[in-house]
Parts: sequence; C-alpha cells; structure tokens
Amino acid sequence: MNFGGNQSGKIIGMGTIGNSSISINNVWLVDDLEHNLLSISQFCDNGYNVMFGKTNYTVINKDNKSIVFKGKRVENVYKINFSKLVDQKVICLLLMNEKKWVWHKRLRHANWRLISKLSKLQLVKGLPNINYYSDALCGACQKGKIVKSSFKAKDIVSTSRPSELLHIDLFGPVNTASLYGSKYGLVIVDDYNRWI
Amino acid sequence: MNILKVRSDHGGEFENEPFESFCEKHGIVHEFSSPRTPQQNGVVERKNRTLQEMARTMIHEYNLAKHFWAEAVTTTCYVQNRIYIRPILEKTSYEFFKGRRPNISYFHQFGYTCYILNNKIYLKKFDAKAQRGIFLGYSERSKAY
Repeated sequence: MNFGGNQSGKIIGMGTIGNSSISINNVWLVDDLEHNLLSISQFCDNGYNVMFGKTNYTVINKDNKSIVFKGKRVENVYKINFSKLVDQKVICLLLMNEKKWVWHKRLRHANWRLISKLSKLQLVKGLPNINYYSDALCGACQKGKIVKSSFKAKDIVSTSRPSELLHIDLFGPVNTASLYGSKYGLVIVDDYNRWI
Repeated sequence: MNILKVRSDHGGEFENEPFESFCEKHGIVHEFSSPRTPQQNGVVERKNRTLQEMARTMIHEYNLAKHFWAEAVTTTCYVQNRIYIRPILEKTSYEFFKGRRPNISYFHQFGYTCYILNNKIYLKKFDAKAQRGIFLGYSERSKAY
C-alpha cells in the first residue's frame, strides 16, 4: 500500500469489522498506520451520501434518506465511533482499485481500451493482470486530448412557416473588392424553407 | 532491414538536395503527398497527434513548465513503441522490431518526484546523498538513467 510521499506500508490482513447489524467489508490492516481511515468515495459509490458540517457529519442512505450514522469533528479530523453503531446498517464498502490509475499514468495516459487489450492479449511483460476500465474522468486527459463532439442533425422542423426565423451572417472582408467596391457579403437563410 | 520508400509532404526539411541524394544513394524511393493535402499523409499525421496529445496530458497533470515538452514527447515515443498495438496484426511495435514482448514493469509516472543518487560529485561525509528531481523519461542506452 502506498501513501503520499512515496512511503509504503505492508498489508497484514484483510477482513470485515463491525458487529452483527453493521459491518464494513474489505478492511485492510496496514502495518505502522496509526489511524483507521474510511474512504468517502466508497461510501458514495455504494449508495450513501456523506454530508460534512462545521462540527459534525452524517452519512445518509440515498434511497430512503435515512441517517445511517453520525459523527463529530475533532480539530481537523472527522471521527467515527464504531461502538455506537449498533442499530445502523452499513454493508459492503469496496476498496477502489488505485493500481489501474497508476498504470494509466505510467503508460502516459494511454487509452483504457488499449491498456485493457495489452493486458488481455498479454502483449507486454510486467503489466499486472487486472481489469482496466475507466471509472472516473481523468482531468489531465481532458486537458490534453478533449475534442469537440459533432452536432447531431435535427430530425424535426422547428419553425412552422416561412420567415418565422432567419439565420443571418456576414462574410468578409474579401481581399479583392467587387466591381462596385464592396468587400462584405450578407447571407440570410430562412429556417423553414432554407431560401437564401 | 532496408527502407524502400519514404512518404512525406513537401516540407523544406524533406524536399531538399542533400536528402534527395541520400535517398538516391541508398535506393530509397521518395514519395510526396499532394501539396496542401495533409490527409494523404494520414499515418504520420495521426501519430503526430497522439504524441502531442499524450505529451500535453502529461505536462498538465503535474502543471509542469511547458519547456519540458521535448522530454514529454520523447518519453511518449518511448512508451508508445512499447504499448501501441498494430491493428489487424495485434502485436506491439516493439515485438515486430525486437521479436520479443516488451517488459514494462519498470515504468514510472511522468513528472513524479524522484531522487537522484549523487555519484558524480565528491561528497563530504554529511552531505546529502541524493538530489530531488522530476522524472522525465528513460534512457535508450543505459539501465541507469
């Protein structure tokens, strides 16, 4: 397991914590880690909303809007007390797979389809065999590769009679003036019958 | 492996006397696309776009200065050669060239903070042994880079 600043800790075990009515799955026990961390994104992925206030926070079930549990803020950290979670239900919190994102970046932000193909056809050595698919937008990819999508053609006529809507545009200045010395042309198109 | 044909546009860097005589000497046919028709030169123009897109992406990921673009393009080229799958033939470019599957287990993210072991300058006992740097690419010739 890797932390910011390139430090790493050993994962000693995996399991489930909680009691009979509430449990959190896929918990990793990491050597040398002093605090227990919960992933907010995994709460959100599994159908819960998390609201943070100035002094406390609440985790809400998205479907029936019931409060799953609450917690308080101690200085800059929002804390959770597991012993109080008796009558509350939390199930299956999956861990997000960070590895594929590292490889996406290592392969210089290559297309997800390409990475998945490389892994499936075993065309390279050293690429871990995991499921490569995009579960979020990559900001850097958007900055570097985004293109405009084409406008879809309309299949309805939005006006009901001629001269209801006119499309007007001016072109020019043309380098060579016309015989009468004009340099601009005005184009007017009627929306209904496309008369120019 | 000999080059038989070169296809390019009419850029001054391709259409000149030394290049033509070089082609003639090595028996290379030099083909040109029609003037002002980059569409005819599609293969290289598309690769051009890939390189530029990936490099731009990498630079913006860590907000690097833009003058690292050359490094970004070089390392993109390095990675592309190892991961690009030729359609239909379903093999990486590297495999065609070298005849074996490329090993990519040593790849790193571009722009990462890295520490460079100081083995060039003479160090006093308690001088720092490493210097901080930004990872910009691999070396084609050496395992230590």
